[in-house]
Amino acid sequence: MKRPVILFLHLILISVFIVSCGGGAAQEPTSPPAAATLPPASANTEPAAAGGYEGIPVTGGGTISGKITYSGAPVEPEVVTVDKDQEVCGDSKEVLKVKTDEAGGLANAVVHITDITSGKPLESMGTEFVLDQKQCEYVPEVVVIPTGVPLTVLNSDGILHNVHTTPFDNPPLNVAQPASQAEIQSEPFNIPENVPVGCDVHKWMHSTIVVVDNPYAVVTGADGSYTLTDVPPGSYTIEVWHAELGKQTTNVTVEASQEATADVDFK
Amino acid sequence: MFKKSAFEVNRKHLFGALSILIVAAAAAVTSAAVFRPRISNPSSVVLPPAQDLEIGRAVYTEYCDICHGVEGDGNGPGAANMDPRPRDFRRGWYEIRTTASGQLPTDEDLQRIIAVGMPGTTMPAWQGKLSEQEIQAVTQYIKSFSRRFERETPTRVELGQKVASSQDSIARGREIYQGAEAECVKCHGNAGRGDGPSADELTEDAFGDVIVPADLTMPWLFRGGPTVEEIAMRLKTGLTGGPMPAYADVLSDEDIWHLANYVDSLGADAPPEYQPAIIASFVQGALPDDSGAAAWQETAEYYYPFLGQIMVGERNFTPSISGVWVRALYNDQELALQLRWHDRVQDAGEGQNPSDGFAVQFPAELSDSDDNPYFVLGDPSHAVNLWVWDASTNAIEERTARGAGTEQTQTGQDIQGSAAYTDGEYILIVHRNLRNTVAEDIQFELGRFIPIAFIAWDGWQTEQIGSGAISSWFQIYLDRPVTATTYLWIPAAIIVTALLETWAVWGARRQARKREN
Repeated sequence: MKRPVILFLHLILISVFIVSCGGGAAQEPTSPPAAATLPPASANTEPAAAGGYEGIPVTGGGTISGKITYSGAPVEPEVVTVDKDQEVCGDSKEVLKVKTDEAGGLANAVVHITDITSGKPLESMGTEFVLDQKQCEYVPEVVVIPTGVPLTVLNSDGILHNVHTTPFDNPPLNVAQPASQAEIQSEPFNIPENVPVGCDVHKWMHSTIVVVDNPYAVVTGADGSYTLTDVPPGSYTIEVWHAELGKQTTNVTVEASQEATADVDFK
Repeated sequence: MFKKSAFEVNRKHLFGALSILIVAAAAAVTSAAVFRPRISNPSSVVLPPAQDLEIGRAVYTEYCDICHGVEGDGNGPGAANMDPRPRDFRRGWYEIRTTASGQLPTDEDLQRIIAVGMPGTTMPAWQGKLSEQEIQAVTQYIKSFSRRFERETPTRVELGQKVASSQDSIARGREIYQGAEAECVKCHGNAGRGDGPSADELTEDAFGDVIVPADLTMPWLFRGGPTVEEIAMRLKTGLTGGPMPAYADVLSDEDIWHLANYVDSLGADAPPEYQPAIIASFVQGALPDDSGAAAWQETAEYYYPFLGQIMVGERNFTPSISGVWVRALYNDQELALQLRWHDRVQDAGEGQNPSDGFAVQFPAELSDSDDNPYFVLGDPSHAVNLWVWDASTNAIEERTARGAGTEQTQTGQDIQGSAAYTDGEYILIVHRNLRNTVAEDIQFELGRFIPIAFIAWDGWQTEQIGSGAISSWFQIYLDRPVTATTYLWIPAAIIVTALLETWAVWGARRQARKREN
C-alpha cells in the first residue's frame, strides 16, 4: 500500500520540479527591466568651472602683440577626392593643416593668457560666436568662445552635415543639420577646453572650438600676428596652441599703457 | 513481523524524505543559478551611495575591468581584440540613451544596457548573472569615472504619440530617408545595407576606430534593440560617441515615427533560422544565370550565419560579413548555387584594399563516416575542394587545399561564375558539372547529404580568404527529380492494394462459407 503512495509522491515532485524550471524559463524577462530610481549623484547643474576669473574695469592696460611663426619643414596639403556632394563641395579638397604666409607667419594658432585672474570682463569678447559650413569646410577653422555662451552653427551649403563635437568635460554634441536647418545653436560651453568638431558625412571637415574663461585669447591672422588689448599690468604666461603643432608657452611682462611683444616659433 | 514492517515503513519514509530533499535542493540550485528572479519592484531597493559604490566596485572588478579597464578607459586587457572597442567611461559618452544629444544617459539607460547587453558587440547581457542590486550598484560605480555626472542631470526625452505602421507611414518614412530632409541614405545606403557613400569614411571620434553604419536590414544587430520604439529613440537622440547624429531638432516626432516605421520595415527583428541542409531543386533545361529568373525565385532560400576565423593564423574576432543566403538548383548536367551576401564597400582590388571574395568549400572526397575535413580549409589528411570567387576578376576558380595557406589552383577548371554588386549586396551565381574526372573535385550524387561550408571576406576591412568570415559545415542535398513515373507509382500502389484486399476479403468469405456449409 505504501509503495504506490511514495511513487506517486515522487511523480508529483518531479513534475513540480519540471514545471517550476519550465516556468522559470518562461518568466525570463524578454524586455528590459524596469530600472530603479536612484537619487541622482548630484543635483548640481551649475557650471563647475568659473575659473576664478573676475571681470573688472581696466585702466592703464597694456597691449601684448607679436607674431607666431612656423619654421619647420613645409607641410604639403593633403588632397582628398570628393565622392559625394560634388556640386557643393567640389571634386577635391585640399586640406592644409599648417597654414603659413611667405614669412612663416602661422595662421589659426590661438594665443591665450592662462594665468590671469582679473581683467576686462568676459562679455567684452562679444555675444555672438559663429561657425559656418561653406563648401564643405568650416569657417573659421578655429573659434574662440567664452564659457557660458552657445555657439551658432550655420549651414550655408544646403546639404546634410552633422555637427559632431568630441569634448572631454563639456557635453558632446552630435546633431544632424540637413538643408532645412540653416542655423542651429549649441548648448553653452561651460568648461574651458579645446573641443574638436567634425562632420562624419565629409571626413575632411575639422575645426576646433576653444572654450576660454578669460577674454585674453585670440586667433592669429593669416600672417601669424595677434594683439591682446587692455591687459592689466603684470607678468603672465602666454600659451600658444595650434591644432596640428601643439602647445608652447612663453612669459611676458606688461607695463601700464605700454606695448609688450611675445613671439613664438614652432619648428 | 510488526517490527520488521515498522522498519520497512521507516526505511520507506527515510527514502521518501531523502528524495524530497534531493529534488527540492536540485530545484533550488537550478533556479538560483539559471533563473535569477527577474528585476522587480524597482523602487524597493535604494542603497546609500557609499554602499552602492562599494558593491559596484566589487562587481566592476570581478566582471567589467577585463574589457573596460581599471581606470574605466575602455582599455582593459581584453579590449585589443574587440571591435567596437569597449566604452571609455571617462567622458560620459553613451550611444544608447533616452536623453537629448549631448546629455548624459539616465540611470535606467545604463542599467538597461548592462542587463540586456549590446547586440553586435562583445558586451553581454548581465541579467541573470548579476542581481538587480548589483546592476544598480555597478551603474553608480561606472558613473564615478566621469565627473560630468556630478555636474549634469539628464532628463528623458519624450517621443510623442506613436504612429502605427502603415503603407502610408512607411512611404513617408522612405521619402524622409532618401530625401534632403534627413539624407539617411548618405551613410546607410539606398537599400539600407549600410553602404552609403560616406560609409567607408566613418570613424568613432576620439578613439579613431573605424565604425560601420548599421545594416538596417539586420535589426537583430542594432546596438540599442530592434523594436520600432527603440529605433525612433535612436533617431531622436543620436548615438553619442559614434557618427549617428540626433534628428530631434530636424524632424517632428511624427516624422521620426514615420522614419522609424520605414527602418523597421527593412528587416525582421530576429535573424533567419537556419536549416541543416540546403535542398537543391531539379530543373529541366538550362540553369538560369539571372538571379531574377523564375526558377531561382521558386526555390527555397537558406540562411547561414558566419563567425570570425579564429582558429589558425591571423585571427578575426569581428568579421565584416555576418551571413550568406543560399539557393541551389541542378539539372542533368550541372549544379548551380546562388549566393547572396552584404558587403558595405565594393572592393575590386583597384584601390589600396585587397579585393572582396567568397569561397564555397566541399570535402574533396565524400566519406561514409562523419569525418569531414577541418572546416578552415581542410587538413593534411582531408583535402577540401574550394570554389573561390574573386572580385578583382569577377571570376571563379577551383582550388584544392589541405589546411590554411595550402590552397592550390587546379590545373583543369570546370567551373563558371560571376557576381553582381548592387546597393551593398553581392549576388554570385556559380555553375559546375555534377560529375567530372578531376580527382580532388567533389562529385555530386543525388539523394545524398553532401557537406558544404562558406567563407567570405571583405577587402575594405583588409580581410582575405583565411582571415575573414567562415561558416561551419552544413549539408546540401540534391533532391531526386519528380518525374512522370513518380506520379504513376501512387495510383499503381492504390490499385494493387485494392486488388490484394479484394482478393483477401473474397478468400476469407469463401472460407467462411465453406465452414458454414
